[in-house]
Parts: sequence; C-alpha cells; structure tokens
Amino acid sequence: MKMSLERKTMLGYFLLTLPALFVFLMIVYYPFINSIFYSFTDWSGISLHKNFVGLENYAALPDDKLIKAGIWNTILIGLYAAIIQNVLSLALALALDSKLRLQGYYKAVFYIPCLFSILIISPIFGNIFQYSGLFNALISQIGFSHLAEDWFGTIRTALPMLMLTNSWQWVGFGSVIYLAGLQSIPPDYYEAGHIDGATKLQAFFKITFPMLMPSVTILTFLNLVNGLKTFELPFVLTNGGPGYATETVGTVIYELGFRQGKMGYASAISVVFFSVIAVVSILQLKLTRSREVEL
Amino acid sequence: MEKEKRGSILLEIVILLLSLLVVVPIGYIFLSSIKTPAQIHVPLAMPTEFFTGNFETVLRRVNLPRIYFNSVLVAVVSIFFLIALSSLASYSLARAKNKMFTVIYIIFLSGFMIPFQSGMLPLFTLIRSLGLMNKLGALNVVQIGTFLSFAILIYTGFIKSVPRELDQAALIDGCGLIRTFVFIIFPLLKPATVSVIVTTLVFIWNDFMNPLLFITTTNKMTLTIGMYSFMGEHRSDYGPIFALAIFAIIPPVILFLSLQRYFYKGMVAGSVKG
Amino acid sequence: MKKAICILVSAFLIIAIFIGCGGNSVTPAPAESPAAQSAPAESPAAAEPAPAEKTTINLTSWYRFDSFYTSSLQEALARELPHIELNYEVIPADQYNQVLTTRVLAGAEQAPDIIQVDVGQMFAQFANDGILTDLSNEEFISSYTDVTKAALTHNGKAYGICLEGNGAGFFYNKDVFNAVGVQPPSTFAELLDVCEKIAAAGIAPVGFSGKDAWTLNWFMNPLIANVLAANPNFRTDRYDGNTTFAKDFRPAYAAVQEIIEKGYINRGSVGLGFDQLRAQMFAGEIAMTVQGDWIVGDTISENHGEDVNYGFFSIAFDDGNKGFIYSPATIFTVNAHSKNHDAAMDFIRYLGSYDGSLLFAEWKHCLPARTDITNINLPDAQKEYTAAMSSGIVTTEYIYTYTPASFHQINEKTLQLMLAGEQVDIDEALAEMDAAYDKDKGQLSRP
Repeated sequence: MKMSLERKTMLGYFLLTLPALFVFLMIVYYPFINSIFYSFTDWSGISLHKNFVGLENYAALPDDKLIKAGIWNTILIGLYAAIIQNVLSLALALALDSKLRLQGYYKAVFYIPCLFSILIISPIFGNIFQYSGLFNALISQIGFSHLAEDWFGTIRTALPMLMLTNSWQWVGFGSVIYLAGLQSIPPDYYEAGHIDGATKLQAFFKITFPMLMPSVTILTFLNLVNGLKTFELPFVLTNGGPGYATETVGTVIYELGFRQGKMGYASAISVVFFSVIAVVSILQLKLTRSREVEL
Repeated sequence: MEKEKRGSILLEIVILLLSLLVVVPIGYIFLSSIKTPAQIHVPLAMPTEFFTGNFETVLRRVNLPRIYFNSVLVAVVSIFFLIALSSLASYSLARAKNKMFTVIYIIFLSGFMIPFQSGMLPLFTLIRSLGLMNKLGALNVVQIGTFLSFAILIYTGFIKSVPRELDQAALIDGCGLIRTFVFIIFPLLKPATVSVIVTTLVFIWNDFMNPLLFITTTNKMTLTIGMYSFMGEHRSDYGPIFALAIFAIIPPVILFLSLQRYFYKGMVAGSVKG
Repeated sequence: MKKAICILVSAFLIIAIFIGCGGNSVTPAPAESPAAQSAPAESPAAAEPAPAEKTTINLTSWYRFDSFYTSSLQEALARELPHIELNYEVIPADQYNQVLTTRVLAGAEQAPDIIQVDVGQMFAQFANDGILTDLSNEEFISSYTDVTKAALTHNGKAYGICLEGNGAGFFYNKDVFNAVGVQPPSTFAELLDVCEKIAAAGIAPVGFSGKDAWTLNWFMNPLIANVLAANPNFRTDRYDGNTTFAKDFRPAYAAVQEIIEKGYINRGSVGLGFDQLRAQMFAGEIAMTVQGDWIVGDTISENHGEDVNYGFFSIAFDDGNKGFIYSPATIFTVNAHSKNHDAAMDFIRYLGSYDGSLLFAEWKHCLPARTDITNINLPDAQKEYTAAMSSGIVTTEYIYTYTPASFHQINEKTLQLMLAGEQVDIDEALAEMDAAYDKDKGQLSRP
C-alpha cells in the first residue's frame, strides 16, 4: 500500500507525539479519570469498599463552609498572582533592563529565592514574622512597635502575608523570563520609535508590550494556574489557619480527602475545580495569544 | 540629562533596597544554620560563634553524597527525557495542520490544570503495578508527566516562530522528519530549552510530595526527604534542617549562574536571526 | 570540547537510566557514612545475599525513631537480634496516615513490616482489612492493664505492642510558681486567681502553640476528661443522640475562652511552634500549659543535663468531678502480609518485652505501658501525675478516638480563632461540631 507523502508525513508527526502522549496519559490522565470515577462514590480513601452514590457529592458542594472559604481565598490568590505579582515581575524586569551598576548581583539575588524548598521557606518566614520575631523587632527599633502583629497568626494579615511570601519566592523568577524577553527585542524598533518622537511611555505600550506578549502569555498562565492550584505554601506554613484564613481549594481537597476520609467528596471538588481552572486559563490564553506579534 | 541621572540613581537605590529585602531571609537561613540548638528557638538570637554542630549532624545522620546523588539523578534524567519527549511532540503539534493535533495539544495543556491531590492514590497504584515502587525511576516518570504540559506549551510557541522554510529545505535535501528535527530545528530551540530547564529544574529539585510517597528506603532519599527526616513528632531539629538547606541550594544556584549567560544570549541571538 | 561534553552527558544519562530503573546492585556513590543508617539491602529476594545472612525489616513511625535507634536501640539489637537489620523511616505526623494508607492500599506487601499505628480509625481500619498480625497470645499483652489492652484490641483480638502511656493535664514550671509565690490550684476559680498573679509578674500564665494544631486538640483533652468523669457514658449517649457536645462540652470550652479573653496567654500563640513553647516554658517565660506528658520528656531530652523542675496539677470545674486521661501510645504493629514476618515478629517480641520496653521508656522519660516496669526513674511531674490519677476517673478516650476527623478540624479552627483574638461564639462552634459529628458518625463504631 502506497501512502501519499502527505499521509506519510502526518503519520510521522503523530508518531513523534506518541512517547510524550503515552507518558502523559499514564501519569496525568489515568489518575484523573480515576478520580472522576471516585467522585461518584462515597469512598473514604482508606477502606476497600466504594459505593456508588451518583451526584450526591456534587450536590453537597455549595453548602460547605470550608469549601466556601477555600474558594474565596483561592480566587484572591489567583487574581493577585496573575495580575499584581505578574506586574511586579515585569516592573522588576524593566528596572533590571536599564543600566544599573550591580546588574549581575541583582539578577542572581532576585532569582535565588525560587530555588529554596517550601520546607525551608516555611520555618524561616514563620520565624521572621512571629510575634517575637525579627520583623517586629526591626519595626520596634524604628518606632513602629504598635504595628507589631503575629503576622501569620492574625486573621486579617495571614492571607496577605502568604501572598507576599509567595511573591518573595516568585517575582524574581518571573522577572528573569521577562528580562530575557525584553532583551530579545531588537533595538532597531526603539530607534525607529525614538526617531518618530515617541516618549518612553509610548515606546513601552506600542513596542515593548506587544513584542513581549509571548512572555506575558506564559507568565500570566503560569501565575494564574499556579495561583489557583496553591497548596504547598498554605499547607506547610499555616495549614489553612488561623481559622479558615488561608484555606485554599488545594488544602481543602487534601483535608477532606486525606484527613477526613471523604475521598469521594474531595474528588468531586477536584473535578469541578479542574473545570473552572480550565475555562479560566483557556480564556486567558485566548486573550493574550491573540495579541502576540509573530516575529 | 540631569533629570535622567537623578532618576537612574533613585532607581538604583530602590532596587538595592529591594534586593536587601530579598537577601534578609536568605541571610537568616545562613545565620540559623550556625546557631546552637538553644538559640534556634529564639528568633532574634544572633549566633555568637560559628557552630558547626548542625552541619556535623547532617553529615552524620544523612548520607549526604547519596542523597545529593539521588536528587541530581532524578533532576537530570527527568529533564533530559522531558526535553526529548516534549520537543519532539511540540514539533509535530506546531507543524501539523490537522485538527487531531489541535485536540492533542489541548489534551496536553489541560493536564497542567489538574490538581494533583485526588490523583495521588491511583497514581500510586499505577506506579506500584509498574514495579517502580521505591525506584528513582518512579520519580523520573512522574516528574516528566507532570511537566510535559508546561514544556510543550513553551516549545510549541517557540517552534511556531521558526520559519517553515527551513523544514521544507531539509525535506528537499532528503531528510526525514526526525533528522530535520534533530539537526535543524532543535538547535534553534536553545532559548526554549533553557527556559524549560530553568523553570522545571527548581520544581523537580525541591519536590517533596512525590519522594515522600514513592521512596521508602533511606538510600534512595532525595534532599527534600532528607530534610523531612529531621522533622519529628514533637520536635524538629531546625539547625540541621537549615544546614541541609544550604547544601540543597548550591547546585541550583551554580546551575543558574552558569546557565543565565546562555539564557540571555540565546534569546538575543534567536531574535536577530529572525 | 562541546562534543566531548555531549558524549559524557549521554553516557552519564544512559548509566543513570539503568540505575534509576534498576535495583540497588549498582552503587556508584561513595560508601555510606559510618553512622546510624541501616544497610540498603532490600527484601531477601535480592540477587546477592548479604554477607551475614541478615534479614532486613522496614519500620515506619512518625515519632523520631532515629534518635531512639542511635542512642540505645542499635546496640541492643546488635546484641539480641544479630540476624536482623532494621531499616526505619520517619514520616512526619501530618502526612503519616495518608502516606501509609496509600502504601497499604497499593499492596500490603509493599507496606512496611513494622508499622506505628495510632488508636482510632486507622487502627480499626487496618485491623478490619486484615493488615495487622494478631498478637493476642504474645507475652507482652498480659503485662498491660485492661485499659491498655482495650486500646490494642479490635473485635476481640490484640494487634500491637504499647510502649508508652501518656497522661495529660496542667504541667507547670515549678520555679516560676515559686518565684511568683503561688501554689498549684485545684479548681477553676483558683486557677484564674493563680493566672492573675503570674500575669501581674509579667510572665505569660498559660502557653499555647497554635502552629502545631494537634497540641490544641490535646489542650482540650484533659479539660474534657472532667466532662467524661461527670458522665462516664457520654460517648455512648452522644452516639445514640441522647446528648450533645453543645451541652456537655460547654464548660471546657467556656473555661478556655475565659482564660484567653482575660489575656492569660502568651502573645503570638497562633504562630508559635510546640518546640518554641517548650523552650519558652523552660526559660520561665511561660508558666504552664495543658498538654500530654510528653512535654516533660521532650524538655528533658532537649536540655540534657539541666534541671527540669516541672510539676503537675489538675482542676475540677464547678461540679467537682475530676477526670484523667491515660492514653496508650507509641503502638507498633506487625504487617500480616510482611515478607519477613518471622524477623518482624522477633523484633516486636523484643521491643515489647521487659528489656525492650524499659529501654524505650528510659530514652523517652515516659510512663511505660508494661505494668511490670516499676523501677524506672520518672521525672517529678509524671510521678505526680501517676499519683493524681488515683483521685479521679481515668479514661483512655481522648477526642481523636471517638469523633470524626471533621470534628477535630472544627475544634482546631475554633481554638485558633480564639487565640487569634477573634470573637468566637462557642455555642455556635459547638453546634457546628455537633453537626459534623452527626454527619460523619458513620465513620465511627458505637463506643
């Protein structure tokens, strides 16, 4: 049987995707399909028995106090990461792009935080921001002792502190990506703009930003999805506390599935959560991809 | 001109202060690692001497070369295969104009959004039935699977910016798909490759959930699990944990510092060609 | 140069792949450090038999077994059980149940040979599913009190060894009390009085470590023991729906709330870790706390050589009933599906024997579970505890054992909120706990 060149090529392309597809389906999709199946049962996660309960788990979702707190916090974290943290990374990259004297030092210092494991960052930040910790001691020295708080132990401040800790870790990382993008924009464009009399601000919006779109796409996507999936940091640092202040959907799923013996219920939450993330991120990708300028 | 100079000095100061903010916690780690056990619990106690006991405890209690080796092994092998598999797949996804490939692309992308917690148990059963329990290979496979979505996202976007004419030229010269990819396209993907390495390496290096689940014997521990071994029921020995943390960040730091030149160089070179 | 690097890296990778997917026969790393770590040889089915024909058994625990091993167990094992090589794995308490059930679920043969199991749901589940070996006829079982035996028993069979019996209640720093000039109280009103005087002296009267949420649960346990003393049938009554937590547990929670609202606590407690609490209490910055008696043992271990002058007292609420918790702990079981069952049994028999248990109790400074261990040198606080127990009703049931996990979670959250300075309506909180209990009652068996 003679295959046309085109079909042969298509087959070839397909074969190239196979190894990745195989590993992917096995590691990512097989467990997920399984958990969809669990979501229709009352499985505890421990016992060997699973009973089919239909949509019961899904119906119970809206009434749960824990889940509602988790959803609210997760939305806040997602928005913060995708917008504010993202902008901070860009701002930092722009600052680093200009002729600063200690460039090499800055590039390294801002990136290094992301190399630390959560297991380390958690006790460190926990220690620094305790009531008797370094931060309160410092602000007392400069006369602000009335502002001293148990930063991770107060309802009002726990979540913002969590977000700041996350930023400490990841803003530098984002700025490195943006910086690479910035430095790959050919200077000719700027020269042309300069000749045309564009101000710095105009240059940014008309040249820099559009050319940076691929990086913006990726970083926004990363920040958004990782923000929504946030689990490790609140899990290790505050375990969702104090109260429900730092519970995220991730920690809620873990708590329900692994600690409260409600794996079926937790799986239902995962499925719904996944759908939400999928929709949101696809919308985001569409929005930013459409603005990308191909070189 | 004056205004610009003043502006840039101000910027420099601001950035310098910011960098100090970043450095303080890092410095805290170093300081804590040389604190005596009595001082560890008191956040403000400044170490009065260079207490080496924590480092000694780490070296004594943990087989440091071994767990270093394990972490490095997992990282290197995972990234190698991740790059191989994802770049190949991305090539097809970026070039082929068939609807089927769009579907496959979406399948890959969607994987990134799946929260892992509920999948932990079936994944575990899977690893066990593959006979990979307590083998570092299990970690490799899981890491590759986890980051395929992201790597493919990066590669596909990047390959799209490589002109198709190159493919055509290679085909005319008689190269098959694979040769075209390996010898012509892949070398041009350096910035993307470096991006993938730079981003995923950190996650793989610091991952603790997967080794915790799949590794049961101490000789296969990774660095993160090594840290865990100092955290106990009622008391955690933070001194050794911090000491171990210092050991743990050295390779990634070195890797980053040496790679970052190529990172920026590659990006610039890539654009000039275009 | 570049080519050479490429070839080197490829070679390394190929070797790495074989190592990664293979067994332990290739050991490229330098020889293991001479210290405590056990031999890497896996199950006896490995290709090369270890030189001295040793069987390796795997043990998992959440407490720091490694410290026990290096201090005295290793030597004892080398002497008593030379044919056994012990490979221990410490998994942090937070993830312990999850990791272990994952492993057991994936195949009981993959699970460790010796498993530390906590009383409660996991113990019952494992026993039910046939994971644990029946140890009813072993020597050590007869050395335990009925109370301990009951904790180890499920459906009439005993499944573990017990190395420790924990007490819980008010442990205080005697030096602080003496310096301030107060005596240990015996009623709640007296307690408030004592707290007032201590606070006036600038010391935090009662310490909490909110960061380690499980300590909050244990704070409540002794107070609730008073409740159980007032109504010994509480658990059954509650299960049958004849009473509620909102009604019976209220005095305990109201007491805690009063202590917190009057400010008799350490500032910044929510972010404080348990180890820091111990350090501050030892340093005299905190006068007392309510916790399990491990706080004494841990403090002694942490401050080797220095005098730990701690005492114990208990208080009654208005109804005058005093309850005490005696909770069997540090329970080790044998995996019924273990491939090295005989070796595992040898190990358990040793650890559960008089010698093994004494070794453990001496290391941990705890109350041993075996009744025949009497000449152990206990710290004052634990002596006082043992004496006090005879003056009230002893229960082994602490919150974890008769309530579902959702209950514990709400309990911890409520306490955290109180500690964080929030206004908490304890009736509302208790109602929530009742609701959670009723919803998840199916996870429990009737007490």
